[in-house]
Amino acid sequence: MKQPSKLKMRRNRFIFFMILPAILFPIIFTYYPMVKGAMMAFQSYNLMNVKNIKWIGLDNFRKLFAQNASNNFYTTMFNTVKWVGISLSAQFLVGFSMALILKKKFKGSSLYQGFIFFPWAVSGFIIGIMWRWMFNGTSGVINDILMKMHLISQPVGWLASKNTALYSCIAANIWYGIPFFTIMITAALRGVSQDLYEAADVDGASPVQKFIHITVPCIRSVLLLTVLLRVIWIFNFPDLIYSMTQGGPAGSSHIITSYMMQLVQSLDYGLASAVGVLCILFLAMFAAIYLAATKYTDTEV
Amino acid sequence: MKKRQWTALLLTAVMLAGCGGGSTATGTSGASDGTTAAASEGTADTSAAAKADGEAITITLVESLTSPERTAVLREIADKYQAEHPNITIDIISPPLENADAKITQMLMNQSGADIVEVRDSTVTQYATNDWIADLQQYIDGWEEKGTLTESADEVIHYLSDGAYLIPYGFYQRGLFYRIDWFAEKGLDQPETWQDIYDAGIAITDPSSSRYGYSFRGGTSGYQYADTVYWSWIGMDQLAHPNAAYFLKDGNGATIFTLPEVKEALHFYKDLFKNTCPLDSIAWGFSEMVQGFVGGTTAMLIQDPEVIATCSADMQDDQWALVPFPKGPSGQAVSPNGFAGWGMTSFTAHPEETADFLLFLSNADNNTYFAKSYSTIPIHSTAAAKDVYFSEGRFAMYMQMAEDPDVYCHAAYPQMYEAFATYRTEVDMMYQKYLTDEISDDDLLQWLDEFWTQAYQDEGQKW
Repeated sequence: MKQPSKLKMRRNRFIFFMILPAILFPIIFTYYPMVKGAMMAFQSYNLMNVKNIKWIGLDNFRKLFAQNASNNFYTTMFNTVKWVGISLSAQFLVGFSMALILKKKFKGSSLYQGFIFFPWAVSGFIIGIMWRWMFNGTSGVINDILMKMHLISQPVGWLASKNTALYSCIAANIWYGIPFFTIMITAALRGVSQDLYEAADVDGASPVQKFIHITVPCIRSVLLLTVLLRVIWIFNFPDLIYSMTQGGPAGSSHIITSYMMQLVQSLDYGLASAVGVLCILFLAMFAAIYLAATKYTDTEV
Repeated sequence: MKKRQWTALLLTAVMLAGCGGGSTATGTSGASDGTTAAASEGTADTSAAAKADGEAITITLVESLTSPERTAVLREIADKYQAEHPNITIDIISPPLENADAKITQMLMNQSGADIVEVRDSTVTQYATNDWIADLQQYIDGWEEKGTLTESADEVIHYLSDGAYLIPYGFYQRGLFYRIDWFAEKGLDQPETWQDIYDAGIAITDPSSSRYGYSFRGGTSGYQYADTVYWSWIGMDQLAHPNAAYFLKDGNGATIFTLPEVKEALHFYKDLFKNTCPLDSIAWGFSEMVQGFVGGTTAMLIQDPEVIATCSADMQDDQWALVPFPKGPSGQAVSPNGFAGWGMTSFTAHPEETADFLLFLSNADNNTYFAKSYSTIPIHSTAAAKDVYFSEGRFAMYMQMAEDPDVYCHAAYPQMYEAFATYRTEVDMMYQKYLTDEISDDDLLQWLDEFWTQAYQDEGQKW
């Protein structure tokens, strides 16, 4: 019939125009810059001489993986693995423990929650500067406390030694990331039905059994999602390292993203973009493997 | 139930990913930068619109080394100019210091939004190579105040041989700050040479009471200090040109890093670090160096005149003194004469009026006033006569150094090379590797030599 189809067409067009902004915005503000940026990776794009930009194929990538004295990229990649791995595990474990404490509302729990959330609310750079002075070798609070507790006899140059610089940054990162896990997991735990626990009590289950067989499976989807998000965010979080050590000493605390920031400062946008492309490739691969391995899409309550 | 849960989860994930990504993005670019960007875009558009024929003109000046006190001084000078030229309005844009240069680069790439920009020694090559700033020679030729410019000012104006790209507003010349009270305790004399610094450092350094001899700069830009030690060891005679002091005279691109005196100087530099400085200082930048001296950790500091204000505020007058830059075995004290100044953009719509204001900013009265407020060395030789600030007190030391140019010399790393941008980001790491015994002295000197030999081959002779 003519009438209903005309109406349907108008409705479809209306729907199309309503969706159009949602399609255009990501294209203009996310995908177009990403593609343009990725193109820079294959050019000799140096801001020192913008008249000299030309296509150079894979040269930037070859430069990254070159074996010479001033190229730190292999150490940087290994540092990134340490950075993500250690930060994530510690944040997850401590965050989960705190969430278990906060599961039941007690007197002052809202206030306590507010305090826990504080690190997340502050800018990464400011936290970096704060921890940088705390770790300061001569006038830092951490050395002072450790010496007063007689754990060390002389002040330690935490950010000055290659052996401790990266781990000091990781410590600050752990402090920073705990709130996110705490809040997300607390919310998830509060959504678990009490009936399940009561039924388990009737069957005589121990707390550990209840934890493994009820709690974890119920919040599995939240756990998987938060871990994936945090891996990506921690990987992309150079703020702390940049303000605490600038990747030093001797490049020993650089991760891939802080190294990328350094390259941007050296005005070599082509090389920086090459690092960026590698980051995207790695994270995309990781996310795909992760979701497949954990069978995330099959998760059901 | 399952579908709704899925959708809700996805939506949350997308939102969280957006928030998470957003926080790092604003973290790196600065939230305040966002608002300044909006403001400057706004003013840029209105200034373009306001440029009617002959009548109201707006000149936009963009700062780089921003500080609230300095902006106030610039505003004062701009207001004076506006009073004399009622049809001209001066807009001063002051981005936050950390990303000001990046912002200026963006404006220059866009070819809009600025008439005068602050040009620094580290950015002049980039701006000039990309044809972003204009040659001011024709305006300087007709300037009545050009006769009183100091030699240093003239050198900087012609820093790049193919044009006059900036007029400096001042020089950042380093001097030696030291604790006269600690020196008196140990019966030490005023340090005049690098060896004096080392010897005094050994006498004063006492880790158990947290006292060290020297504020070492191992972090960003630490290589500049190593360079001054090299030059003080080899003297000016062997250098190809003061502004390209990594190359040897008549050497066709041979570098100083192959000289035996430089190796000696490098060993001295490492000994200074290991024996008289806190371990921490391998990562020290500007603020830590100054904090080390002012906070009572180190006895000596080599820094710019802007530290005078900090010392005066945080220390007693009889605790510290400012003396000339230390000499080396060559008998000369060589240091870079850091500079910054004002350049005119090549795309400005009103070159005549802009150049006129630029020269007004740089005339003897205004520049001397500016240099006094900002603690830099003025560009006119009449400054000492104009203001006792420059002829007496702490600052007089700089004027004294200027009067003995055979001993107190200037040399600089070759910033006119494009390769310098890459050098600047890699060199400090190489020095840190050397100071922590990861690489040997030969490795470091070889890297330096190869880097600059290659740069000479790629870009030719640029001085």
